Amino acid sequence: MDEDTRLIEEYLAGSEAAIEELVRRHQRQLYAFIYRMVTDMEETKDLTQKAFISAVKGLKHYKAESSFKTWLYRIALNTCHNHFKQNRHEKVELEENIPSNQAGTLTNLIDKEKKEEIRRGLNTLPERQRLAVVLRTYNGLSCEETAKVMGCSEGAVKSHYHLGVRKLREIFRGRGYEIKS
Amino acid sequence: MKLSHDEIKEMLPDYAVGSLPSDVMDTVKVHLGECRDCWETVSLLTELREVEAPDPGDLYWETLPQRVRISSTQGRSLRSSMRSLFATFLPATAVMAILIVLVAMHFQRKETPRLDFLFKDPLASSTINYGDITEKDIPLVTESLPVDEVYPNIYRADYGYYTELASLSPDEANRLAEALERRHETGG
Repeated sequence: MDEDTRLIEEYLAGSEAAIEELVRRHQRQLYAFIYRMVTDMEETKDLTQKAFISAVKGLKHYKAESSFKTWLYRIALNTCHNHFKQNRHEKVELEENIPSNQAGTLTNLIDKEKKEEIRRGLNTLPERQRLAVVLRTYNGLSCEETAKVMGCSEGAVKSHYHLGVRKLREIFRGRGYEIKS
Repeated sequence: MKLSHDEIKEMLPDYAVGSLPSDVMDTVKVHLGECRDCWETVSLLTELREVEAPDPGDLYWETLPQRVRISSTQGRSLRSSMRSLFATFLPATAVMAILIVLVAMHFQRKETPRLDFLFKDPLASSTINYGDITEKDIPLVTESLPVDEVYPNIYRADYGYYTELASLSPDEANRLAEALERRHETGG
C-alpha cells in the first residue's frame, strides 16, 4: 500500500490530520500544474485550494483504479475548466514580479527574459498540446497517467505532446533563442 | 540495451525528469550524442523545467493544508450531524405522525353521519333540521291568487296530469290515493 492510499484510508476512518498530510504531499506540484494552465498566481492559489477541497469531499468515491495523483490532477483540470467557463471575459495580462534574490546582472536579465519567453511560448500552444507537454514534462506523469488525466488514449497524448514540442522549438527558433547544449 | 530512435523519442520526457532506469538512461545518453533532433528536444524540455511557477510564499504553503481540512470537514461534520439527527428523531417522528393520522381518522369517522338509511328508506328520516322554521317564515303567496293563476294549465284539455289521472283505472286510482295519504302522513 502506498503512502497516499494509507492516508486516504486513515481519513475515511476518521483521522482529519491525514488530510493535511495528503495536501502537504501534493500541494506544490498541483499548484505548479494549475499555474501552467491559468498563468495567474492569485487565481492559481484559489484554484489549488478549490481542487483540494473537491478532492477531499470526493474521497469516498475514490476507487483506487488509478493513482491518487492522477485522480487529483483530473479534478484540478476540471476545476480549471469550470474556472475558464465562468471567466470567459477578456483576460488582462499583468506582468508578475517573481521574487528573486539574485543580482540584476545582464546575464540574469537575459535569462529572466528567456524564461518569460518560454512561459509565453507555452501559453500559445492549444490547450490539449499544452496539457500534454506540462503533464509529461513538469509533472513527470507517464503516458498512461497523462491519458487518464486528459481523458483520451495514449496515442492521442503522444500526438499532442510531439506537436506541442515541435511548435515550441519553432517558436524559439523564430524568436532567435538558441537551445543550449 | 538496443533502442530505436522512435522508442527513445517517446522516453525523452522521462529522461528529462530522470525517472528511467539507469541502463536505459545510459542508452538514451549515448543516442543524444548522435541524434541532433533528440538532443534539441531534451534541451528544450530541460529549459521548460527550469521555468518555475512563482512561489506564493511560505504562509500559503503552511496554511493551505489547514484551510483544506477545515473547509472539507465543516461540510462533513454538518452532514454527519444531520444524519445522526435524522437517525435519532426520524423513527419517533414517524410513529407520532402515524398515531396522529389514526386518531384523526377515528374521530372523522364518528362525526360523519351514516347515509345508508337514506337509500334503504328515504322517507323514514331527513338529514335536514327544519325545527327552527315556523309558518311565519314561509309566505303564503298562493292564498291571494286565483286558482287559474296558481295552476294556469290545469284546466287545459291537453294538460298532462289531468288526462293522465282521467285515464287511471279504479285500482290504480286507489293505489295512488293510498300513496298520497302516506306521503301526507310522513310529511314528504
